[in-house]
Amino acid sequence: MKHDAIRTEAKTSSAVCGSGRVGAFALCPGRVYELRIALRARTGTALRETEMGLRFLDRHGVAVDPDIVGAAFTTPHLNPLRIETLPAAVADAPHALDAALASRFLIAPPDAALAEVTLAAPGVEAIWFEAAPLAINWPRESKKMLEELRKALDAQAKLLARRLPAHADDEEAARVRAMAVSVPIEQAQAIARQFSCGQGWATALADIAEAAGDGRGATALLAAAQSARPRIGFIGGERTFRRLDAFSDVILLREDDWRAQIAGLPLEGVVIETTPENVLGDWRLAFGRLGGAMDEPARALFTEAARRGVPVRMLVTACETEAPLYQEAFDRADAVVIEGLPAEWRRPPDGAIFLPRAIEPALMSPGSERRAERAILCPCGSDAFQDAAFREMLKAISRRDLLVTEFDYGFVAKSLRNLLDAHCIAHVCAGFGERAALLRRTSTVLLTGRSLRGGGGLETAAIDAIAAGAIPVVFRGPRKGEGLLGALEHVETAEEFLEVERLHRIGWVRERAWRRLFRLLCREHVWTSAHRAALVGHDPCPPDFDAPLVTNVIVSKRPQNIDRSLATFRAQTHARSELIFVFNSDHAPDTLPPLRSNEQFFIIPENRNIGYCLNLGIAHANGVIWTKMDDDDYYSDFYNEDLVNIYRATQADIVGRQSIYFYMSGEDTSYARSRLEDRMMQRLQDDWFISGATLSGRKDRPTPPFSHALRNAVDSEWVKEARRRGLDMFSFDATSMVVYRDADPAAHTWIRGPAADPREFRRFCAGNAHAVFDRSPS
Amino acid sequence: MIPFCEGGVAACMATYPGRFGNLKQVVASLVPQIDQLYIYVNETLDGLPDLSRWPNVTIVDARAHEGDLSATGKLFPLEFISRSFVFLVDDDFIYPPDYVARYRAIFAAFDDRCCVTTHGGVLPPRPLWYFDRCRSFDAQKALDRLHLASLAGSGTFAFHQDRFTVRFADAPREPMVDLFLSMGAFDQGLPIWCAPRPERWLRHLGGAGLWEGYRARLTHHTNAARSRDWSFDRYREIADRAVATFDARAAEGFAAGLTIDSELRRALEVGGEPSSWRRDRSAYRQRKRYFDLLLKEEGAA
Repeated sequence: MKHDAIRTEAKTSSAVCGSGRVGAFALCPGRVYELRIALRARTGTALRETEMGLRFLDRHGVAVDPDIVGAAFTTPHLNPLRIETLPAAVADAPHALDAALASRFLIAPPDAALAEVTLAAPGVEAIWFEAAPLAINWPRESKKMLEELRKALDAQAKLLARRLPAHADDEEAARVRAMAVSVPIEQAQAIARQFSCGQGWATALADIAEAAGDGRGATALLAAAQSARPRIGFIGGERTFRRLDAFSDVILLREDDWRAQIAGLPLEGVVIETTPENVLGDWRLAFGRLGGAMDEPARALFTEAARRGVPVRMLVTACETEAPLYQEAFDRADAVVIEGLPAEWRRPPDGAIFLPRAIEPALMSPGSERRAERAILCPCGSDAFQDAAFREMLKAISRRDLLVTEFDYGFVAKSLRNLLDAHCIAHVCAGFGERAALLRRTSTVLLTGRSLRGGGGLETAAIDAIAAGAIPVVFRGPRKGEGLLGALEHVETAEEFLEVERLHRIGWVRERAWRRLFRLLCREHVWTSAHRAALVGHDPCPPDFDAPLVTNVIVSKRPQNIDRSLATFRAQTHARSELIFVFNSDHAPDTLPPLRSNEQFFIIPENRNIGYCLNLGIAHANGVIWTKMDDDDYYSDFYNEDLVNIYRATQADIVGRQSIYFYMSGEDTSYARSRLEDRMMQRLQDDWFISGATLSGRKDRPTPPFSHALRNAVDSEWVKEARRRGLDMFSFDATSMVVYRDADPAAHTWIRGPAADPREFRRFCAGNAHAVFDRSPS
Repeated sequence: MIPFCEGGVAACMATYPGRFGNLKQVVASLVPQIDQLYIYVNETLDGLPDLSRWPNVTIVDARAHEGDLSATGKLFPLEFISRSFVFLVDDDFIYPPDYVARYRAIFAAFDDRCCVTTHGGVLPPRPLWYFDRCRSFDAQKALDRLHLASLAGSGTFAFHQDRFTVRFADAPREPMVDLFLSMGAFDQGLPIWCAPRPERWLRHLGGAGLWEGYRARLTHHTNAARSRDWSFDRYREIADRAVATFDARAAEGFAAGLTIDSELRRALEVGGEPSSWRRDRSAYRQRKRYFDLLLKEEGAA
């Protein structure tokens, strides 16, 4: 699978493009560039300004609209570029033209791979063009940078005044001269603001202990859906305990009490993880010692389990170099199950079964609470002691947004604070629940690719971060092309990390990036039926648990939209999808396209309302999940797949999306409803709604029927009723669906839009936003 | 009589009476590591310390040859050296005992197809003036891996003559050895690597040199630097080829202990440029200095 990092870089770097009329330079999204342009008019005696065009292109040559970043991430004075222009009267001496060498700053928008600067003004020539990428640590250096920039611009302005003929200093020239100083300053200030710190961790840490238990509700629902959960004994770490607990009843076998536990509780199996000790601190090094032999109590456990016919499975989460420590345990175990890839092992134990490194998404419960804005978490703080480059990296980004902790090793916060600096917030984690809670509150997780921790530690850290809703970024280390690690952003410097982190602050960029990572995680890093059976003997989950059937219900009265609806449905990547198309009209279409076996078509007379049609569709649905789709809106190809994933992660009763993005076909322009932009990836709050075009529910939960009486507001009434019933509703993303609005307002029941409500809508981009959200930057 | 050096390791230095006081120390640090050291002495030999105890040191009296050449004098002896490793050295550095060995290890890793320096820098795509820099790799400071530079400090510069052709006759008479060598390396498709080293590997003896004087005015260096496009894009092909050579040589065991800047590797793989090839905050300080110089020169005029 191709990875979908949010930034890609063209094969060429920023370059001088000569002194022609057009300049073009390669871009890295999120990077800050300084443009230096000198223009001279062929006539005149006074300083003037000239308009230049600036446009961005993606790697396919398709225009990238700079407005897609939103007002908070916009750099002023770029569209159009207005550049001070020397008159012909200025001498052409070697350094004479430097006085009017304009300076402008920009940040490459998401997906942009190339920028083009054009000059169409007649009688003006470009005599200098440079696009230089900058390496500035904006949060730390912007104040000084701005001071020094201002001083340089002031000195340049003095020079400019001296160069120009005195009589040419008219009002317009004075304005342009002032612009030469003020515009780059304004731009640099705007950029600095975009890199500024957020609220920090102090508040988010205050109630972290209470938040640590938040994931348990979701796994309880998961357990309720299972039948005949196997009871197993377990010795190992807390993370694996929680993972096994998601699909079995786990008894922690204690070193002092295991005989009584085994005697008193009928166990279907014992799982022993290759960790130095048990969750509760006993069995220390009992199963793995230098030389490969076990301790006597460990040996006795194997003997007793064998005597009682209880199979013992060794779960290897350590790396191969540690395997010899467990040799005797491997020899005596009924099965050895390795978490990792066969390629990582040169000599796996005989008959070993490989499982992917995995997490149960419900354990991390993404979206169960509000994510802290601009919160960066480094969960591998111990690496700072071993790796000077990583230490310098942490120092360079250390500020109130960065929390350093350690998930794998014993850790003393004070020692890290001494190692880094006073800005570092170091926190000692109490256990898995608190780690998950921290990750749920994090926006960006900083990992190091040069960590010495084995057993796929980097991949495991990334898996947990993504499952909790955070986006991991890797500092250095080998970049692998395939798999989850290959899909992550890799950075080499603090400045680069800050560029990526700033991109993640743009809501839709973050959402798109996370959704892609989460999809990859759910495809490759969640245990499925065979894996569960390999670990605990049999799979307690229902047959379609891993890939539930999704029913798309489309109600339409427009025959012209049938083909399009079918195409949307047939493009879905989730293989187990079915379509129920309800044609709500007295005028049945003359012909229908050939339907497939998973597509049903119903015709319902017009006197029945949409609620009736939906109820009928849902009643006929075979899927455990049904989802409504509108016949004219744009849905992502991953719509059903992402829906299944988020249901599993949240265990919600109802999932919907926010209708934020609108494509107005008459204008060929997309708009965003900014007010709703902070409502994604959260439980639905009391006064919130979800878009009617995105409603979905589980048939095994007590969702209400739609009203058969209402002609309008059927969807919102349904949401209200679900709320009255206390159902758990989740507001997922906003970039999987774009609302279509026809040029003819009569074609829609809901006619509000940018024209009627300009304060609600902001221009997002030219064309259909669907193309932006679907764009794969890799 | 100036001896020839063929197939060996030669070092070339230029000096003048103002630096005679340090010369013995500097020479002593170098001569055990090389076959031949040529010292081009500008102005006069009066006061030159006695270096005769080192038979592999040759004094070249400027007055008997090309006259006062300033720093360019270190290029004069190239006419007497062939098929050798050439180390261009300065008279104000004490070179460490493993200086030549460390450089030779780098040459081995690139099959001699490179230039090596300790003091280097990266010019921005279009420098305003000579001191407009993206990054300087100061000779006194530590570096943990090989970094690509576009500008070499000629006092710490080395190459092999089979790979890099430099002739004294081609050097501009106005001293600009650093630029001359750096542009030559680019033109001949050779990367300039800044050598990995510990802090204060080279010891600078202090005192003002040409460099400080150049910073106080606009010189011919600026015109030369502005005549070129120094963007990373133009160096990409050279770097790409060099990294491929390094990897192949490393596989054969010729690059032990050496690592290429991971940012450079990444830039070559996926695009962009290493951060050392981007302007940092100091660019604006240098820019102000440039405009102040222009204002000062115009005021004086």
